[in-house]
Amino acid sequence: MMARNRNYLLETLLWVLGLIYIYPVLSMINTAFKSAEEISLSPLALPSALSFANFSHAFSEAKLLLAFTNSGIITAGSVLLLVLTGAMAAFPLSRSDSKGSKAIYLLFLAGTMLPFQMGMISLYQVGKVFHIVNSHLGVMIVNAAFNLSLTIFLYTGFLRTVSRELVDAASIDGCSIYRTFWSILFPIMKPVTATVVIITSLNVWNDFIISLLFLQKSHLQTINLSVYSFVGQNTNDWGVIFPSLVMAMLPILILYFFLQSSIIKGMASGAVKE
Amino acid sequence: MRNYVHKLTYFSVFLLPALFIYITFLLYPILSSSYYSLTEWNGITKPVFIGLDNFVAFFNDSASLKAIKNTLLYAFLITVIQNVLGLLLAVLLDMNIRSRKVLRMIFFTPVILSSLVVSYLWLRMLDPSGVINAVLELVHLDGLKQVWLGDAKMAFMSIVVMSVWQFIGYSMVIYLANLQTIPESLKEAAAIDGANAVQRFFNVTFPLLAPSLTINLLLSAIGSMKIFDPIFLMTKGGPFYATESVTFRLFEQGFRSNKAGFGSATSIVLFLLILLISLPLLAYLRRREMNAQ
Repeated sequence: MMARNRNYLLETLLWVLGLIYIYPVLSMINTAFKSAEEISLSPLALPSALSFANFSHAFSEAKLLLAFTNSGIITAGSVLLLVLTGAMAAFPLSRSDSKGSKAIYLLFLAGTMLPFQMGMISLYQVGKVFHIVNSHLGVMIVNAAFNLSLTIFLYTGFLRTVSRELVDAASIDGCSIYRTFWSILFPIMKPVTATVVIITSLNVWNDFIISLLFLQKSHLQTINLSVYSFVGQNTNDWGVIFPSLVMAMLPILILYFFLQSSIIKGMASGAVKE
Repeated sequence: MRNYVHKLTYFSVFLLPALFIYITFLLYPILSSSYYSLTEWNGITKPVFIGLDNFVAFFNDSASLKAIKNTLLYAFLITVIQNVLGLLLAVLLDMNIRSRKVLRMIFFTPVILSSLVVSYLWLRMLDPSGVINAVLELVHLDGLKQVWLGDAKMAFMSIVVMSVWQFIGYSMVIYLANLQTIPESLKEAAAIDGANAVQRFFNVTFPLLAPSLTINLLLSAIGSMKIFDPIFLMTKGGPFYATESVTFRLFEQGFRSNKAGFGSATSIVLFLLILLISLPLLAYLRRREMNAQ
């Protein structure tokens, strides 16, 4: 009985803490619906009337719809690239115990240790050589490069648990190694593909620095970039900035609401490296 | 022989696309900075080899040294605070509480937001007419009101606090995953032996958390040494270099001032700094894990 009371007390305490903790996010949503006057006069109060004026202003001024589409295209492209190249690369890496394959696996993992900022300056040069500066394709490829270590780590770990007999049996049946991979193994990899898709889409959607580096033309900009340049033009005009921030995080919050346990599990599994 | 050729072909077909992307757009740019660090280069014309001059210049530049000092302090404070609080939360949310799942979800939320959203969110919180000052006024602590990002010390601590705020949830779930592998029977046995909750935690639970402690300390130490976005978005390194990190300085030098050679040298210093901190840390933590077993 005492233990239960203690737990209720603890639960209440944690809820108070949790609400204070998440208050900044709630206040951002709250602010987005307020008029400019209310924001400066009473920053803590709830809006007196729900005002969507800020949102429509943000949509037209910051060209949010275009930015949304751009972010969507870039995220989809990068994730597709990651799933295809990552799953393929993991196959031989999980099947061979040779020194060469171990070395390549370690090479891929090394990417998580190196600070990518080291490469920013010459990455831009490489982009120019391949003519992918100021193109969505460029941002997709670079995002893919930055997320490959994680993707290959997850896929290889999973494939090591799949029995070798399965692949061998298929090849005895006359299936080529390529067909075996795409029609037998790839479907089995669904759960890990789901994890890869969730984590890397979060990473790519949230990216700021890669698109800052590669996309200078305003019609190509991602949601984060357009919020960034929007803030630059409207310093301290929070009534206009906040709706665009809310729009930038809305898709992620919705995704999180429905897939929270797989997102949390996936991100924890991506961190736990051998 | 035919088998070998066959194996080599399929290995290449499967590996080459990933290797190409990874080497061209990640590994090569990172590694080539070690060459550029030895050159005078504006990022446009041909680099000119100048030996170690950039490094000499770096260590004679007080702003660069200040950036190193700041980075080390960021890494230390963020790592310690984030792990202490993350572990505490994990232990509390591992207890038998009805709504623990929802609570975990709440504390994890900032992790999934982009650094841009979080930075602007805090910029507004810390604004002189923003939420934090308004709350202080509400509870009649007007004396504590500040121009948070205008003061050197306060601006620095603000970056630390917002960074910890964003990633506590990440440390928490890694500790939680580890906590769930510890058998209840071990804690119960200790309880029967008369150990109280705190003793049980330090004598039974904490040693068994060695693996997640290693991962968390390394992740937060390496991550916070690379801190860039909040500084770029909130303070621009100011006031008077007070919040500049090495990555911010590297970006400013390499792109804004067109000193790509110097910027590359800065990045090499950062890399060595990360190795210098993370390798001994890793060695120590691994030894600790062995002893715990």
